[in-house]
Amino acid sequence: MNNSLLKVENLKVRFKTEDGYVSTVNGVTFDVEKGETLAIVGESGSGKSVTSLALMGILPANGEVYEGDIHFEDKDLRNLSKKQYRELRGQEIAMIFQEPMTALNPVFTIGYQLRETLILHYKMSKEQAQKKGIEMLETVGIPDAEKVMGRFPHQLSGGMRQRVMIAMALSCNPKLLIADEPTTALDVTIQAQILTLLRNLKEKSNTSIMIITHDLGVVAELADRVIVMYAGEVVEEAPIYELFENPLHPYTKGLMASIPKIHDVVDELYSIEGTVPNPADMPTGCKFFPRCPIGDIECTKIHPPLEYVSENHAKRCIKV
Amino acid sequence: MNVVEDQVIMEVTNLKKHFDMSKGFIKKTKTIVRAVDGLNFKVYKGETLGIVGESGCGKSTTGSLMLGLLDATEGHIYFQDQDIAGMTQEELRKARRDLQVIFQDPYSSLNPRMTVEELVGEPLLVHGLASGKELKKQVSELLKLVGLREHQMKLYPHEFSGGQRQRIGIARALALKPKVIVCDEAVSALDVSIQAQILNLLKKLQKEMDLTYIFIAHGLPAVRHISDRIGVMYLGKMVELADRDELFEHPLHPYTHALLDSVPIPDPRLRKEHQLIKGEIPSPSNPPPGCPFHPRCPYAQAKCEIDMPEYREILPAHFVACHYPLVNEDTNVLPDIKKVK
Amino acid sequence: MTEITEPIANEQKVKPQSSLKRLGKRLLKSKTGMVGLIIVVAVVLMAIFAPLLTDNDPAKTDVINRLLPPFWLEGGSTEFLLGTDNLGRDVLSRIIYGSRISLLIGISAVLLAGAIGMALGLIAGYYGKVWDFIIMRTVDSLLAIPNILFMLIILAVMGPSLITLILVLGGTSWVVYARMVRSETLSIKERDYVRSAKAIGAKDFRIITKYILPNVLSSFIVIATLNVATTIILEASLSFLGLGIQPPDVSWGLMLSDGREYIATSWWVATFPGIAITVTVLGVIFLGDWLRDVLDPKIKD
Repeated sequence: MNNSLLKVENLKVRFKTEDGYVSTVNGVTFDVEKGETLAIVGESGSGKSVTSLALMGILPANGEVYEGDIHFEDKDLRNLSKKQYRELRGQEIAMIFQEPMTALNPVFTIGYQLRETLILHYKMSKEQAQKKGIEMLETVGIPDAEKVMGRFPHQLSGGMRQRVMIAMALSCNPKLLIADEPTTALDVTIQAQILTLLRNLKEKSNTSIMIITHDLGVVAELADRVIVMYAGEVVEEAPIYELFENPLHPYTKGLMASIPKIHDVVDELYSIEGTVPNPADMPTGCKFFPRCPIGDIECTKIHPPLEYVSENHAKRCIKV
Repeated sequence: MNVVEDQVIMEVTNLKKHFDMSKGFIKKTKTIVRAVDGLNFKVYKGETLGIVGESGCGKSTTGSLMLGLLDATEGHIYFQDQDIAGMTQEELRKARRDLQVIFQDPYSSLNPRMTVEELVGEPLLVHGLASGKELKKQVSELLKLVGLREHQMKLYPHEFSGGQRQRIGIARALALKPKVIVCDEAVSALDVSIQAQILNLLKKLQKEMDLTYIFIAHGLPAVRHISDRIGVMYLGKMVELADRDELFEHPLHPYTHALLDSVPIPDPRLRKEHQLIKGEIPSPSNPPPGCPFHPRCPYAQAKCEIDMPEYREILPAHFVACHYPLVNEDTNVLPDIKKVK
Repeated sequence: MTEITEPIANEQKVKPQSSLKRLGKRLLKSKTGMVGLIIVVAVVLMAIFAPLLTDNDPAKTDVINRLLPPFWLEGGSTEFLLGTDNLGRDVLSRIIYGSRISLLIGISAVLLAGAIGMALGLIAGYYGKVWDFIIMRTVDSLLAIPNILFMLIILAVMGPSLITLILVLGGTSWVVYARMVRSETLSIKERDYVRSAKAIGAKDFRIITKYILPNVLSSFIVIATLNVATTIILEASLSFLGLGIQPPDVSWGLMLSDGREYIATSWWVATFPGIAITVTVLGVIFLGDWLRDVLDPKIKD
């Protein structure tokens, strides 16, 4: 455990709405170890993206962390000043988003934006930064890197923009890279390129990656360890092979069964009934109970704790 | 499946849609985007024809053309012996009783200012098929059919979740008892567990109502699940079309092969190196000469740079547009690209 | 078939709450919106019940009591709470009666402009092509002419009266609505729900009235409220310049104009109608801003 880079304990996040506070992350605990790739899987409304925004300290104005601890190495992130957080974000934790267009500034060239970070953090000269920038673009597999430095974000395709984002994120050698649905907006063939790129990065550097996704395919391609989230909670945690071979929580099982398989066609897909509950109106007891095929009356009474069944496999269910 | 072989319900011949994106007033720069560039295919009664492809391949434009929501630049779309491409607005309105659509985004495809009752009842009202109590009765039956409750009639779309909204969209499409439904990325915006619900619902409805689907999507697993035959588009052209299993197990076009290979498989034991195809999809305003795929194709030869390959039926019911289609020796395995040459 | 029962689990989440009730709840939470609403309601009530609020005839001159200061100043009288003007007319009752004309002009000119602008904007945006060209070039031309000058010329030619004033104010300000409605129509026209209306075979008239109009209405209402404010100010300016409301009618702008000469000696003659205009306009603007927040579904989500 002393190998952990990021340690999140009992994280709770709420949003202020006109009908009062709505809590979308309800006590999430996990850690990211040095050099590992952790995947957080969940559907919309699971709180996976909010968790990552909370870690980065970039929640929307009406959101706040109201309980829990976030430790990055020896720093307590909840007690950082804005300035300290900014420095941490630039140098130690980097983030890439689903739609890189919104994260790149449309009025500056790629080169300008890349150089700016390098000059700011490493006090490089402009020439050094230019050279390093080109090098970074080449690392992420951009052909004609020198030309691309002079382009504006809108002149690049979605896949290229995502590569640029990755280059920018990596330019300061972060210890942790948070990737929020990094391939969701991309075409399949481009997605394969980006996934391969991320996998290679992981092998070459010892950057830890935290990937947030709804796609179990992406998880299977990249992750070492997986956390499954549902309705703002962790419902299962396991190493990748263990999770796919022996999923315990009925939600995890259902999620896996409801994906159409490309090499194994069935007539009718398994489907999880119902929809994710509204955070303003959560069921008491187990939050998955209204959709659960195996739950019974007991499940409405107890809110199940996250229990470890083995050293590294945990589930939040009293029935399995 | 109740696919009636040989009973063609729609036929597309030499279909083209070019958008004039020329800019400038004094010095005009001529830009023509060839969104759809010469399509030929048939749709059989009762089947689900999947159309897949990446962004810019023209699959959505094809859907709009088939619905008469866009005017074709060239070519014909025969639907029940009438050419949609040549119809007047009034004729089109009538044809729409048999030809419906389900859109991708259940958040933007429902008028936010109308209640479920108005949304689902509108097609019947517009065509003068029902009104008053009868309309209400039919609406409640439609809602039941797609798994919604009668008492939800007075609610507005924003009061529903994504999956439920898609059900409303399906009920609206079913109201006229159409023969053909174009599903334009109908499950792409939905969460996995909801996607499964909707796919199952679509399959059930097809059986019960004898529907023909044209299922346009970029998500290959969903297309494979629901389709009987699948067409693969690239840069405005159909590059391959075959029965579902045939296409997935023995793809003949290198692009199809690469596309299938790129899909991440949700099983870590099958983790592998993807046979990446290099580069990006070219812009449809400036397509490469010859075969549109040749700049990215690992087997491109000199001929591919010059001649556009003909789209032909190379095996029974298996169409492909490639000069050097992949040959499979082993019938049960995906052709190994390295072996082919 | 078991999956078909899906939505039941989610039933309880939908709270059947009337939109009016929701609107009221939102209003209570916005302080400026509340202030705006109170001011606007007060001014409207004042206009309607003017005769009940004051016994003084706003047009009655009384040379003996001319330029009396407000009652709390030396020489003031409780009979004329806010003093009198140069002809001895009661400032307070003139403000109360003046609200009638100011509101009447503000609201009817906006309704007129809104109707013209909405219709032309929808046509230009939906049908495009030659319709768009003709309507939008007309809009551009009207925008190119200095507004006040244009109004002054027309008023000078036709002769100032309440009706011409409304016609002129409404007839020149529709361009704002036409532009806004057109650009909104252009974007809504491309939405999937409009395509879905075409796909079920709906006719143009239905698409425009059921799909486009309701969806531009919220932006429209916001602009219209703010426009009531500008129109009240414009009326004041025109009256101030002598081509607006003519005596014996009274409007706040006219009072400002009358009080201009006495501003150094008898400040109250111009100041109180000025305050009335400012407070009313502010109230309307607050209300408009609040409406924008409430009616815009983008902000709501």
